[in-house]
Amino acid sequence: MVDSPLFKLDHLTICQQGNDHKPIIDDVSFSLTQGQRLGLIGRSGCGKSVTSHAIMDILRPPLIRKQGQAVLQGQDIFTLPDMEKRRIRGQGIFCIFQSPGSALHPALTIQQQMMELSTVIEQSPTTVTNAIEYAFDRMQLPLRCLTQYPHHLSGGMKQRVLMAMALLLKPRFLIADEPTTGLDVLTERDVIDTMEIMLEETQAACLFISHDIRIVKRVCPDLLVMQDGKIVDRCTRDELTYRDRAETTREIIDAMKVA
Amino acid sequence: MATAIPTLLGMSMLGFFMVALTPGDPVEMELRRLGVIFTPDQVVALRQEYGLDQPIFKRYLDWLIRLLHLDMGQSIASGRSVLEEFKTHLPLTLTLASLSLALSILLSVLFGITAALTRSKVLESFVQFFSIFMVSIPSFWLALLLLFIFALSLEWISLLGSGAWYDLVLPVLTLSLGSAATMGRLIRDRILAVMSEDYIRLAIAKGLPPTLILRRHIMKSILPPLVTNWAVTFGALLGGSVIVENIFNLPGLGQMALQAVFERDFAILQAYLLFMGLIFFVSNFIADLLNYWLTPHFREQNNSQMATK
Repeated sequence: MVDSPLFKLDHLTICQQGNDHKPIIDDVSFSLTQGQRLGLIGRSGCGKSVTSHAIMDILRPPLIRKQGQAVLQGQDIFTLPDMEKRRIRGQGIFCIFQSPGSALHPALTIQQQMMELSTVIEQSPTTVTNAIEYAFDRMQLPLRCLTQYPHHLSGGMKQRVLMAMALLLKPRFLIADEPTTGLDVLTERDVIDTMEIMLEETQAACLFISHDIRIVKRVCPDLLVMQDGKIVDRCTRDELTYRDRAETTREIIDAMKVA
Repeated sequence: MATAIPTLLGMSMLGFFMVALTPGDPVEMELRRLGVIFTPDQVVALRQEYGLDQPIFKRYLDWLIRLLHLDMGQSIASGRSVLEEFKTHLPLTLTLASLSLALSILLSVLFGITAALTRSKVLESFVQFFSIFMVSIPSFWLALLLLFIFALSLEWISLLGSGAWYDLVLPVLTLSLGSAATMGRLIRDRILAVMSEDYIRLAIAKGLPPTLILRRHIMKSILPPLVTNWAVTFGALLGGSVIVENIFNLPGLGQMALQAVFERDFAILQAYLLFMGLIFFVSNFIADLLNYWLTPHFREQNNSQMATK
């Protein structure tokens, strides 16, 4: 059986306004099949996060997309009208952003931020309340978090709130943009564990972005290596240690060994 | 809150001494205005009657003590109590300032949101031009310009005022346009800054409708600085009414104050200055309370700060 890709990114190129010669993202392409997990690694500032913003189509000036297609189940997100784009966000593609500390609205309670998903999944408030309780249980979050504000929660808990949102939305494609940045090793493990549960349950394909190859290796069988806005290497996790890998890949592997 | 008493005391001192130390004797001014021929004895007697012969610090303390009973003395010019004078003149000025604040909030919110969301170059440069234009125009000039257009050229309204509600239209426009422009720009800049916050990105990623994102997520984060701005603006509008009331011939606090300056009517001026300070103080206090309620994430920090104070 040949899997047709669920999501396909084609020749994405992003430049800074007025500076076309030095693209931030240079001709990046990859694809994911249903439920596939793909890791994207590279050092900080190489364009990983910009790629995730571009896929959600929420780039802000001065960054502009020069060319590229992002096709989810046959629809190119970039060419869709705003209304249709909004329908794809959330249940089509969802993104868990870097630094959970700033990803939740500081002046809204967790409950308010969870409940507003009812407009997206078009369910009655009671159904959503039940779904939230279930999701919190799965993500090992106590229900008392609901009445609290984000600053009451620890970094790991905030990240798991985002995972609970993903559980509610059941996206077909999830982008996890450095979900463990700034967490200690134990919390990191918990977050990754809950993420595995969430991915299994939602059956979502996942683009896992990180600079930490240990975690990427654990979560994803397939890897992309990015350097200066270009994909410089593609391999499976077993092929990582092969001698003929790209220079950046070898650098990353070596750096990990030292640590 | 512990700073309230010293602040108020300082304000009262500044207001009292600034007026009391101004050159010009209120009694002489008053007698001259009435055209009465007076002997030096009469002047001394009158000065005694108003307590102006006392040392200045004693006058300040007396004034302060009487203030606690809401007795702010008598107007030399009209002979009525200062409280009476305030009661007649305050409602008009308060209406003027409140309407102006309401209008500038309305205009600036519309202005700022459209400018931030459409991101059209034409609108942006228009907003930019208009706000610089409005900020640069002195209010007395704008007032005269509006009078020239609507009263003299178009003859939509009477130059002298007719005592009806629409007398307030031009003064309100004069007061609000300038602050609406500055606030509009502030709102636009704040919205654009907030839009690149991660939590707005998350709201978009969730697939929420744009109106909900604007109403709930964006507004909720830009409101606190705006509330502070509105409080300061309200004070400034009350103060700004001095010029506008005199040009449009509205018998409000501003007109009362300016007349009191000409007549060296100490009691009125001192009360006016204290009142203005009080308005700024109270409106800022209300803004702080509102912000306390609007920003749950700063609340705990502030609580611990307050405890150490």
